[in-house]
Amino acid sequence: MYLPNGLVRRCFIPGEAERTSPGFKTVKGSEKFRDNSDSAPPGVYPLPLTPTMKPLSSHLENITLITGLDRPYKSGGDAHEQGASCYLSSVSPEEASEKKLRFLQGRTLDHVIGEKLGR
Amino acid sequence: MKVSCNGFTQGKESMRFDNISWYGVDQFAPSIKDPQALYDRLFLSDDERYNDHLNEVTSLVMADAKSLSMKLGRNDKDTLDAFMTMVRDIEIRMSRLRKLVAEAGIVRPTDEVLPRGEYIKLQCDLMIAALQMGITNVTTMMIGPERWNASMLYEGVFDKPVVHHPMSHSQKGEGYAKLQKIDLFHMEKYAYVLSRMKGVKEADGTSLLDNSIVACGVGLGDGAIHQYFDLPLMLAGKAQGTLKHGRHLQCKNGTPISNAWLTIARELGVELDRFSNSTGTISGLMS
Repeated sequence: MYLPNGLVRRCFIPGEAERTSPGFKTVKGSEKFRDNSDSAPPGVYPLPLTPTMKPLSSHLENITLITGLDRPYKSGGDAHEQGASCYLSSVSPEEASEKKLRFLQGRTLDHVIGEKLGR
Repeated sequence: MKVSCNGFTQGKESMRFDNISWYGVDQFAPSIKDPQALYDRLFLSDDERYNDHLNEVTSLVMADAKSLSMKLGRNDKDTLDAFMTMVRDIEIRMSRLRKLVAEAGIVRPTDEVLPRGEYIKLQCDLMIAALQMGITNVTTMMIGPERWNASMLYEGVFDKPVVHHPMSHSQKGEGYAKLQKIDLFHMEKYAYVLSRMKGVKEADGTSLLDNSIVACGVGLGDGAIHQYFDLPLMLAGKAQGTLKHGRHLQCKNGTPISNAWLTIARELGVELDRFSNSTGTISGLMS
């Protein structure tokens, strides 16, 4: 299930309640935001019920939240466009360069799995 | 199967904004946006021969089910009743949404009047029906399109239709609180899918959720800055008992999201050495 346009981090991600949004920045500008990241140290934590997770309260024992995942980005294309179309892509940055692709967009995870599981 | 909840038929953005499923480079696997089209896909009613009998088919099936139900034991009878009620319920809700759009009496964009909660839940129910009926084993669901800048009706949240994308760039002050209402609205739909899948019982007594992996994620973290790093991803479902849940796994900086995709593929029995730029699997996920 894919959610568009990002989300409000401070209300969803554990430990980020005090973090404010830096305001609009280009993708390049957002790199500075990364440098100031105050994420928790890598590790396994109990899953708290953050404000945005409240609707999931009866499912918490059935959910894992993974944070700190990076998506490869290729400069030159729109961030929203790449967000959706490259989200599940099997194409690596190296492969995109070799094939001179505009985006890191190609066969997606659902089709790779579907080949094996059928349909 | 590819499902999305972008009711707008006007091509405001390119297909890259509302398709997460691709056969290959520039070969998009079109998502089904219209509940009727999805219903037709499930019940083969896009076939002209079926169309001639469309109004009669369900009644005939219901009649068959009724006679079959008299020969079944209690558990099987309950399962059949639940399934038939679910199908009938989907039909009634599709008809209601069609009527709403037809009676709106506006020219463009007609789909603005579509209540997103009902629309999304209907698409989710059809997607779950496809899994339940064995029509597909793998599905993608876009709960809404990227950017698009079309106003949509989040019923029960805002009085009037709002445009999601600019709100993501207006988080200063109290702006974030308004935007969070849409996040909550989406999270309710994820919870709805999990509840529904938990309620679908398989022959061995386990649930559809017990035998699946249901991921829910974002292509952008903080929408205001188009953040493509430090993304969150939720995984639910036990994948036949191999996944351990109720935890928050904080990965070290720079962990590719493709590590999560590789983990899912392997959990589902697909033998892959690597997926995109993956560097390994997500440790701590397996029981």
